[in-house]
Amino acid sequence: MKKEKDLLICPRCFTVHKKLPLSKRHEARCQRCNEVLLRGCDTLEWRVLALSISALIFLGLALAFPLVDIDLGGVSSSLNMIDAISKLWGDGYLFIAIFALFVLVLFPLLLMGTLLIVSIAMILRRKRLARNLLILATTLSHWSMLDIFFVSILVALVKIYEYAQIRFDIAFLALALFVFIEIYLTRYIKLEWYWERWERL
Amino acid sequence: MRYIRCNFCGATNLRSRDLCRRCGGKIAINPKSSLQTAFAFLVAAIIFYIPANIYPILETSKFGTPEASTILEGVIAMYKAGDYPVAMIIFIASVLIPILKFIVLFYILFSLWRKKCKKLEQKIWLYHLIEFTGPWSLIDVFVVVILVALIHFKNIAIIPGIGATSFALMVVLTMISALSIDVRVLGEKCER
Repeated sequence: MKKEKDLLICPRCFTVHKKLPLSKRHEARCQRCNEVLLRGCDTLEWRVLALSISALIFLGLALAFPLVDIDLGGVSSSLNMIDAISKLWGDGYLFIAIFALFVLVLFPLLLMGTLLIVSIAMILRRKRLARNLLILATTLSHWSMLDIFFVSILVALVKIYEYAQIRFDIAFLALALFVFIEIYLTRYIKLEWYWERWERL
Repeated sequence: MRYIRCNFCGATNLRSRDLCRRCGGKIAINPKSSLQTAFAFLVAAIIFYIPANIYPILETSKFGTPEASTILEGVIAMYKAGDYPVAMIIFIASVLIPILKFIVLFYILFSLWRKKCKKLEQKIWLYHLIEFTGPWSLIDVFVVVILVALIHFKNIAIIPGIGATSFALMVVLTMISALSIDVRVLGEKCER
């Protein structure tokens, strides 16, 4: 009888597969629908540790400094995420302000912080801690929306580029790098693979 | 089938288990309750779609005279100004995709309810597409947030409208509806 641990079910077509040892830079695909099931990586937790620390630094920069400056007929103004949210709050748009605070600031911070501690817990083989935090990270990963915010900045600038002079600040680059790392850590490496790794600790 | 996949962490579990051996979440399939939750959130989302399109999403005030524009008016204005690609993106992301999502979610919920097994693979593909594109409809809301923060001069100011709040609520409710659908039910019922 095969053990549950040695089996893997495809998330797309629910075909049951038997796990085989996977070497570095190889990926396992579903026999039926060709979905990527796992990618081989010996140093997953170290990679997550390094990238989540850099993501937190980039996110700190993106939150602390203005993202873009615009100049409209001699008057200038800048876009700062915290200021934008507090302005919405001040104007009485409580729902959007709270929503933006959560999906653009708190959830991304928490998600990266959680992944950082998960990687440390996995390196130190603290299985229980890692499991509880992986549950948190899996829930949070749906609700971190800075990637969408990044595209929104570009769309907003397209709307005003005719009237205003636009200058990108260094925090914009930091935000771009954060989005890049976040996509790598939560979309390219799927959170299920962290679970697979956790199981083999 | 003897095995079932945990919806939360993806672990393979024996069907006889109640809780996932790995993350401890519930793994039992309860099609009825997931169907009802998803349907309730979907109806709520459709209700919010109406004010999201009727009420202005942005109000521009030039020299004190307010001027409001709904999503569709904004798209038409941009189309007339010659910004065809942006007008297309906004139209697709904020008018077309929400409606398509409602239709697809209704279709999936209906086939879960009637246990229809035709075109199973397409349905699962559609579901994953909805789940993936869900939050991207928020672009319009975030654009409002950005413009409000950027443009607040003496003569010109941009104020968010009621439409923006309704639109954000609609997107969030659609996302919750999609997340509460248990796609395994589609696969389970139809496997021989």
